[in-house]
Amino acid sequence: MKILNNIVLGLLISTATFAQNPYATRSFDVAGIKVIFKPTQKKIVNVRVYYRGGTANYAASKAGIEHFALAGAAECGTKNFSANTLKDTCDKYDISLSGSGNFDFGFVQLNCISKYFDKGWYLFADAVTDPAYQSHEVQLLRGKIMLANKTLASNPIILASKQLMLNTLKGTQYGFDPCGTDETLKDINQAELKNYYYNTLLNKERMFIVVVGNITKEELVQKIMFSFANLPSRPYNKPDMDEPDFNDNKLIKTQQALPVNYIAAMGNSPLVKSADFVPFKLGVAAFGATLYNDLVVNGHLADNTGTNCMTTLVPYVNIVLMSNKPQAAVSGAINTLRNFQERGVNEDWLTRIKNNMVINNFISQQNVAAVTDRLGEAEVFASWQYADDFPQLVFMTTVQQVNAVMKKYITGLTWSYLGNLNAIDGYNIPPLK
Amino acid sequence: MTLKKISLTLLLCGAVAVPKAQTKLSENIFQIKLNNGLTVIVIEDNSVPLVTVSMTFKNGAFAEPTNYSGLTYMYHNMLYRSNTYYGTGDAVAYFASKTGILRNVSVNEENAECHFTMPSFGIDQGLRYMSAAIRYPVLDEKSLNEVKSVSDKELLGKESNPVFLLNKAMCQHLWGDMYRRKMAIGTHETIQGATLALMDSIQKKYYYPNNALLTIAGNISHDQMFSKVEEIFGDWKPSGFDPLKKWPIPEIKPVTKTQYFTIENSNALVPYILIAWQGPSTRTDVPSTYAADVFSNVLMQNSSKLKKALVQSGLALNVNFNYLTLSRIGPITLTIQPNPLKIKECLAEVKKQIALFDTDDYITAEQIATAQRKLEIGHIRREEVTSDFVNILAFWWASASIDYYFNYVDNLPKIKKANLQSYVRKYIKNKPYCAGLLIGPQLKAQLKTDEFFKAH
Repeated sequence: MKILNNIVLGLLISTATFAQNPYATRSFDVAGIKVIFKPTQKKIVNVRVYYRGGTANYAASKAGIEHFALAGAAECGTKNFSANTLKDTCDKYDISLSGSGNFDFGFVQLNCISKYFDKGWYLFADAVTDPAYQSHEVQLLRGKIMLANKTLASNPIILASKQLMLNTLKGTQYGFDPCGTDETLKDINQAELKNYYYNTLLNKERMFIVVVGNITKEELVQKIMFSFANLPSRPYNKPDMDEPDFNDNKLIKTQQALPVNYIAAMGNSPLVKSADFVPFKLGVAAFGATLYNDLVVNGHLADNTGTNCMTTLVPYVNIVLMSNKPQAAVSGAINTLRNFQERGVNEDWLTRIKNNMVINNFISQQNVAAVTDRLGEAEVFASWQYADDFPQLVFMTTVQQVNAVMKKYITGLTWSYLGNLNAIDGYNIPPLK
Repeated sequence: MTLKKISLTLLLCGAVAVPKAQTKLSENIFQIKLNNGLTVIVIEDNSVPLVTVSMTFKNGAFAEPTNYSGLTYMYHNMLYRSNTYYGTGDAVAYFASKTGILRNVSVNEENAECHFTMPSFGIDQGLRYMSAAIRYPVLDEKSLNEVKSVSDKELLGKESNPVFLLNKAMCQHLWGDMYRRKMAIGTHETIQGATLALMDSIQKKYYYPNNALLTIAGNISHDQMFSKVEEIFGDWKPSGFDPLKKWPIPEIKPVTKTQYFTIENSNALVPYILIAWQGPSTRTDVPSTYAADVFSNVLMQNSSKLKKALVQSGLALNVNFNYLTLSRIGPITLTIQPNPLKIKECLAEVKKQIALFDTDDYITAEQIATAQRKLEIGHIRREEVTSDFVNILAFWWASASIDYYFNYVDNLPKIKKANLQSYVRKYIKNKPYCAGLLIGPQLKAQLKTDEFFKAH
């Protein structure tokens, strides 16, 4: 046991050492905008301007408008550069400019090597402050977004999980796709995008900036002051959600000809900012390993299984099964969950799960865009420190905490099925409790 | 205690052997070759307290006769199960999770590797574990049945994606009866037909230090690692032969006539056009491999004539042109996501563009300079994630050479417009090619694609 704990402890010692060195994350305010900055040794720089709110900012009938507006800010030209000039300059120095909107936030992103950071920042700042939404480019981008949506929907795992979420949360801000549909996207025009970006998104109170790269704080502050000091500032209240409740054992079925059927389930999860979240995340990881063992390795009831804690303002646990014996697989998954909740994890098992999670966390820290992502998400869902504190929070979690939260939160599941309907005909999903 | 201090303590406690002559490949990358032929590369990067260890062999789909298709991947999965030092598969898995070792395998056309990432202060245990996995595996029925199941299910999952079906059909057309030697996943038949005798024969053919590359990357020092490697892998017996000479890989037959095919699939929500040619090999035509990269990069620039004609015109929503560097004929591929209602017009424009590829005004000097700069920056970007970079190096070691990779940037400025034109004339323009269309049944019927998606 001592050896096991020492491994994680060793990593934590090094993390603590990092916290005292010049590469520690820090946060400060520049011209009224919150900035989160992590210096690194690598030669790549990643910058994101985040915009809070996501689908809470607009109605379901406008699904996709924020994603379209942010992608358009990066791709459809600015007041100073035509879209072609912007793209040609990006090509010249291998600068990546992109934008995207999701359920809880959106962002415009710059990624380049530090040697060309000045050139990259010049384009990026213009995309954030003065996007022009040139009409021909807006048309092309609309087609690209529609195509990307359909490409994602061709992947059965993504389709099954997405259908489940949208159907289960119908009527809420999570009940429509932030990337939009052909129906909603076709009517969004240049004027609407401009109006949405300049009057809804471009607001210092809604925005914050995450920067990860091999640059100095002084350089960064100077650039932000120069580019963003004059941005508008209007009152903004962060959306605050209640913890959801998925308990109805409902099954949503869709016929699709596939070599294997896809089944997804959704269950309750604590909020990311809750002290229960990290123990729950560890518990779900342990349950995922048990589920794979029971259904795939020993039971031969499924071809593959997966579990995931989805981090959104309304978080949930997602379980996915691929099986051509769907009835037996679903019943088996419920049995495994019941047994898991009854027996729980032990010290040795939890330590091994912790090792896995902490090492994966460090692996992702090698990539500046992934670090930006973690800091940005943490800031939206709790605070940026959560991303940096994650290894310590994992280390401090006890067996008792994990076992308690798994019982407390997963009290029922909502199910979605994609595949051959005959294989699940007449099947009633057994309740968890 | 900081990690540096821990490393120093380990160094002082451990046996220190005299390292072989080292080659410094870059500021933080070092190489030696042991007497038994094992090539060892150490990449120093202290940005995170981790180390990645990768063992790669010149083996893979290209070395698999028909009944071996997919078996190299299964063999590598078996290496992570039972071995004589750590015991059963369960015992090995327990050891790995206890030590914080996160394992993975990948098998491609021309390389097959096992790698893991772990806390860097456990590297001594990690190297011993890699040695046991590679040199002393226990190939038993239980492990074989487990990996059969894993591979079969993985293949089934891939077959759910219509793009995989398009790519598979393209392999069959472009490589003919050698197509399995370009697809490491194998077929359901060969996976189920695997036996312990076949697995054992894979080991006996390819798994020797003189056919391997060991890469250690992370928060470690190269001198310390070279000593440890000598201590742990120095007694690994070489084969005494070059496996690729003893079991020569059959040559791929050239495509003799242009072929068109259609994959109709109800899950294909967006149509794809995939056009492919047989491209250059690093064995026979290294200069063309550089030209291929520069040419592909030029075509992907926003200012390229191809992008203007297809994407900016609205005929296509996306286009990608690529060459995969391989020692035995890399494919040149043009992938297009056409505007669903303009597939016919898009295809006509594609053919028109291909005919213009070697004309004097198709590519500008500025586009070539941009491509060279972007490829150089691409080199920097590849080194960002050290635990991934080990796999990139392994790929180049197997499909070209370590020198090829480290001299790549210096060779790019040698490529001029005339080289690009020669490359196009040698491999693309007026050469037989294969073209595939992936499309849903409704759109296929509506556009009557069979009437125009065919070789004339």
